[in-house]
Amino acid sequence: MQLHEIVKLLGAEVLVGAGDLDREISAVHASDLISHVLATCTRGALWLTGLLDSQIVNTAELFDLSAVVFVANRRPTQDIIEAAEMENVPVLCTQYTMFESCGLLYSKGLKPSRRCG
Amino acid sequence: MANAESVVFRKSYHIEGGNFQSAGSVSKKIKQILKQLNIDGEIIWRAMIVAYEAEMNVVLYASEAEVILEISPKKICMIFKDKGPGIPDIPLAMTEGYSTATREMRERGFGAGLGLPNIKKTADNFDIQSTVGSGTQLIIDINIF
Repeated sequence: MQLHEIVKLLGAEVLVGAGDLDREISAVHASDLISHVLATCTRGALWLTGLLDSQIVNTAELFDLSAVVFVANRRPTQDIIEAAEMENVPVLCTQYTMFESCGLLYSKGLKPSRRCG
Repeated sequence: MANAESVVFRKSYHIEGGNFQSAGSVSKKIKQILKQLNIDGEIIWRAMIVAYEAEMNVVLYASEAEVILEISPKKICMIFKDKGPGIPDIPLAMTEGYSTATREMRERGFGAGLGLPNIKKTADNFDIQSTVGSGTQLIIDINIF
């Protein structure tokens, strides 16, 4: 599924990366813990989170994540948006809760981001 | 550590403990170098897991650290030598879920007790030495071939 389809599915607002919505996404990671992203996330995954921290963008960029979606209408601060623009990390914001967002994406066939071994 | 004669790139970096503003910047610099050397994306990704975990450990727990990056044709070696409280019980610290993180660290999304086990799992070679009251040294290798 391409990122623009996810934007539509989640009724999301694109805060950063309007030109990168053709990114292909097959796996999703949903967590407010950066530690969990580091321990379980796969390359190219979409990251759903409610965590607003300056390390979000670093984490997404370092681990080649496709995009970050802030759920439950959590609005990233200006410094997060500026960092995402600089690092070319698409950032979306949806009114759906984490549970609803996961359900919608799962129902469309997206898989959990999970490492082998 | 790689044999001195086989090292094609060597650089050292400094990490300031407790500084969230600059946290991740050393990992980013290392990523940039690995990309410039045309190292495979999957290998860079693994190198970033260990680099960022180790860097954040310094930011969260130590006062400062020196990082030495050595790249040879066969592997990427990263040495993290910190000045900090040290780890009294290494086997316990290597247990998934064990953490001494503060509430603030957890609120920032860290401190789940997964960092050191994740480094060990991801690295091709991993060595940890620690002296309580002095600091901790990690030697981490990621094979290129």
